[in-house]
Amino acid sequence: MNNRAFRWTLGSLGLLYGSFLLLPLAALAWRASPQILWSELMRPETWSAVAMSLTSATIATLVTVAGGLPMAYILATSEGRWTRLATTILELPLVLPPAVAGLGLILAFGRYQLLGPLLSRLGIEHVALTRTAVVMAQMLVSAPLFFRAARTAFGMVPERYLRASAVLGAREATTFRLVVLPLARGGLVGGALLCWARALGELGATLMFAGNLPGVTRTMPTAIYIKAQSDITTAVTLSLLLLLLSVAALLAARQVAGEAAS
Amino acid sequence: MNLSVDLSVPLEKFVLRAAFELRGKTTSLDCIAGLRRPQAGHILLDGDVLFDRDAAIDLPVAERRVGYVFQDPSLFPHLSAYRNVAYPLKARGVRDRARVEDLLERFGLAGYRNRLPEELSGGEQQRLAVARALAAGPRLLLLDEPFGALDAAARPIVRGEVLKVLEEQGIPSILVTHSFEEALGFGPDVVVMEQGSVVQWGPAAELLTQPTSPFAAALAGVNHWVGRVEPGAVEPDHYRVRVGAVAIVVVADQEPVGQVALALAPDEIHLAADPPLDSRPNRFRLVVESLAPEGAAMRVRLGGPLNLTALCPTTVALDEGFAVGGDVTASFEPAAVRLC
Repeated sequence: MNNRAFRWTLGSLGLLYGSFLLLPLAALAWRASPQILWSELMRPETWSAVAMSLTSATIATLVTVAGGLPMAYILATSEGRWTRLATTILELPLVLPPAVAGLGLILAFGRYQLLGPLLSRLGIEHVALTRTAVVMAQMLVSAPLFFRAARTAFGMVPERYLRASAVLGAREATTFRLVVLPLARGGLVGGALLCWARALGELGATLMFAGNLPGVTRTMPTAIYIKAQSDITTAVTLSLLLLLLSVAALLAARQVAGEAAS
Repeated sequence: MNLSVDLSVPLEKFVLRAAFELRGKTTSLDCIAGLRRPQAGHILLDGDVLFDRDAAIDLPVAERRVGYVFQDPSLFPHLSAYRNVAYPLKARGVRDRARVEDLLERFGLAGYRNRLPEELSGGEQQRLAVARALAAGPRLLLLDEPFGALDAAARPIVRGEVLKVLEEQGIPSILVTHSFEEALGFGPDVVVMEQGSVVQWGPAAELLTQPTSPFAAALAGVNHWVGRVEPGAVEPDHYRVRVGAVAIVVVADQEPVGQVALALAPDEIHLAADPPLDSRPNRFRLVVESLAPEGAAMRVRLGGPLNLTALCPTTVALDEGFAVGGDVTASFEPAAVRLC
């Protein structure tokens, strides 16, 4: 096969692949008209799902960053068998099916399950089917995206800067604040954005652990899931909005990662 | 790696000390700075214990106040030149604008204060690295081949600028280099380390005249032979030392015995293309193996019955028509040969 034919063949296959990805998106856009979208969005029911999604995904991301960032730094700057084991375990949810994550959450935090008695003694009667449950479900599924990005970003800070900082009289905490964080910034922000986008789109675990109570635990994805069977216009509206937010997060993540790389 | 260093260097003001070798040097500096922990021994600085294995003292790096400039300038890429210099102050919660400005000024970087390291040349980066190290107010400055990454033309210029400031500031410094010229320009004392051990330590001139090992001699560019003394003087105070196939006549107050090492500075050797080979001692007909110009002089490596390196004026080398593969006669005074 000559070079031209080779590239044409690859190009044709690529075109098929691209069409397959774009077709569902085109179908969504086809169903929508701007006026209907706007009036749909203004309906309280729709709006509450959007607000629920945005707040829960943001809280899930913030909690993930608060907990995942220190852990990622510790593991990125340690070596040995236990470090590798801990890293593997913490990144495991990357391949955890959302349905499995949901069931796991029920079995751990459900009222009559593992931590149920302990929680009720602390005065917490319900975790499942609450807004907290939405955040927890989103976190479990999306946190590894941030953790992985953060670990990579910390690992890529050259050792020589840490040595230089130490001999200049900086303690580790100072070095972390003045050197490590700024140099890892791109990876950290990018990872947080991806984590946020993943949390925003989370369906399976949320549905299982938090349910789908309108105005309480109904997020954009769970609303889409329900409405797709009864009210296709609302489903399309929410889908397009969700798509827009996810793409915006992805582009922003690329932007900060690109800035960090250059 | 196995490294054994036993050095105590007086830290007088204005005294700049030089150490150099190929292996073990960085390890030594890392130990002094606290980036590496020796398996045994102790490190004292101005009477303060930085490290003492037996007393279980290991002062953290940040508290040693030992400046360290690596071969790679390791400037923080996200900070401007100004902020790089201000870094050690900021790390301790100190703001001293005047001090930062003064250091930038001294190193000729005042115009670059807002530039990022990547926008500076190699020489500017290295000057900035030294300025940053000095901003921390070190009691001792370690320089690990800081000029090694610079191109040959920039190296002596940057070195000169850095040395000038170091002398002005009066900070005791240790320079690690594998260049003898660099060590000479840096300070009066040279420490030679070989295979992780100190083999020679003293004034640089001593290294030229009394190298204690072939390695030290090679560093200084001095000829070094090991030979056996032939019993009996050839004439008063003159003795013959057999080196391979030839005999070298040396001068000594007392008759040397057995195996001795000889050192001969390359500029003590006289070269000529076609002088008659007479009966005077220390005249050898040798073959030119290589010619390397060094400024106004030519470094000529000769082989044959005796291997030696001579430094002769370039004009002589050109007039006499020295060429690789050609024959020349090398001669030197018996008194020029050092017994060591």
